[in-house]
Amino acid sequence: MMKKMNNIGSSWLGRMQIPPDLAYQESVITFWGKREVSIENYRHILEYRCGRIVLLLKNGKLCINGTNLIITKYSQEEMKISGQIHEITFES
Amino acid sequence: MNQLIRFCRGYVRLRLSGRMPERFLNLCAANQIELWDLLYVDDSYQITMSISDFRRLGPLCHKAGCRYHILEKHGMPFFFYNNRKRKGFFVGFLFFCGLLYMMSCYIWNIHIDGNYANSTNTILTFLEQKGVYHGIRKKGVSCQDISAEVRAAFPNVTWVSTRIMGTQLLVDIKENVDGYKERPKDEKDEAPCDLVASSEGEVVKIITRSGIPKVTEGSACKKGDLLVTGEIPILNDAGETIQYEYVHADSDIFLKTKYYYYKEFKRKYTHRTYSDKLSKYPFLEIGNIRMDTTKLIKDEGTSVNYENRHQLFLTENFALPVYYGNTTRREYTKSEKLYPNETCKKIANKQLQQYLDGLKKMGVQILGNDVKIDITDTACIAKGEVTVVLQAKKEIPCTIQEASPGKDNSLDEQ
Repeated sequence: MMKKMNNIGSSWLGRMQIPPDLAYQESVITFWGKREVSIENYRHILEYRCGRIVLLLKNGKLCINGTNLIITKYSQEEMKISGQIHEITFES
Repeated sequence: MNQLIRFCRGYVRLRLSGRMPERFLNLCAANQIELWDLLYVDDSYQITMSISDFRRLGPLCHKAGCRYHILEKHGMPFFFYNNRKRKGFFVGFLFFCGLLYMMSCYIWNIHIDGNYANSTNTILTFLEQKGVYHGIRKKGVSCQDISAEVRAAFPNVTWVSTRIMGTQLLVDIKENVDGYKERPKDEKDEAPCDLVASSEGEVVKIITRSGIPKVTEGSACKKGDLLVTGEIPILNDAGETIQYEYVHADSDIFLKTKYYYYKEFKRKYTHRTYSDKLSKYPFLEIGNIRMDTTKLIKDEGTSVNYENRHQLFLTENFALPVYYGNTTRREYTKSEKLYPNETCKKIANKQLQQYLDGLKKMGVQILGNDVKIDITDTACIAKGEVTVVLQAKKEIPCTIQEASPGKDNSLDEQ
């Protein structure tokens, strides 16, 4: 029943042409090559070490592996990470 | 821009360590505390935040079990705090702010745009005459008046917009580019007059529009002779003059006359041989005071000076009475020489041609000349006559007389 309601809701939002980041609170991840990545609509930081940052999203986790990772901007809405990014993985 | 705001508000760099640093970071985000340049170094975090956010850190650190240590302090508040004992600096700073405010009350640049036919200097000079100059107070400037005055003073200016932007007075101009000119109204002098010859000669051609001609083609006349009269007799059926009507005599009268030409110049002249060596001497001129290094060098009167002069501008058009540049001095040696015969002829011909060109510009038609060039040991003389055709007429007012009825007039038949 719940699944059916979700399907109806998503189809209705699709018809209204509402952007997915607003409709489903999906995370928006923007890359600038391997140097910088910007993440919007995240929940919070789970782990931050020198070569690894783990963020909690609405639908899972986002792992960023690299070297010299610096969080150049950190606010509730947006996070910007710069450094040498090697790998980005989604974990459920 | 963002960095400038941060600098003005002040910010601190902290080292954070403790049990749950990630929780601390999440608490910061939840409490709208903005962080930047987060760096993980040796099991601790280095973070940067503004002073106002730093003051709210205490409860969050307590909750997350973290401790912080201030590493660096940056920004304007710290700068003022560190220099609080330097009173002179603050006085100077306040003086600077006051001076900046005071200076912003004046016009420091007048920018004129869109002018092609009227030069910027001409317009600036006109504005200066009207009391609008560089350094005038903004309050004393009326943009509307300036626009109206510029339009009135320059007839080819069709549109003017004047506005003040910052400390700049911007004058935008549109000029009449299609070449249309309003014709001045013809104000003809219609007073009765006669035409007399202004020089002696032979009448070559005469076209009379009003008045009665007194000469015909081929007749000779002297200076002051009556050529066309404005006095027209009215005759009755018996051929008697009953009255005179006076008109403004109008006629084209071409006289052939001769001009005497004489020009002499000496063959001896001083020839200057310039050396290749150039010496440069800088100078500085402030108002009427001139500091010139050429005065230090003895001048024997055998040199020419070329001055390369620049004026100092504070803004685009705000010229200061300060000039700088250098004087280039070139030495020469004098020697007395004679023009050779061919050169003499060339110079004499050139002078004659200049004289004839001058006559042509005055509307004189040149029929010919018999100018001969004589070259003696000391001088070159060009003399002779130039035959020309010109309009040599002069208007003089008519002497008005009453006609006596019954009296025959010899002019009647003409």
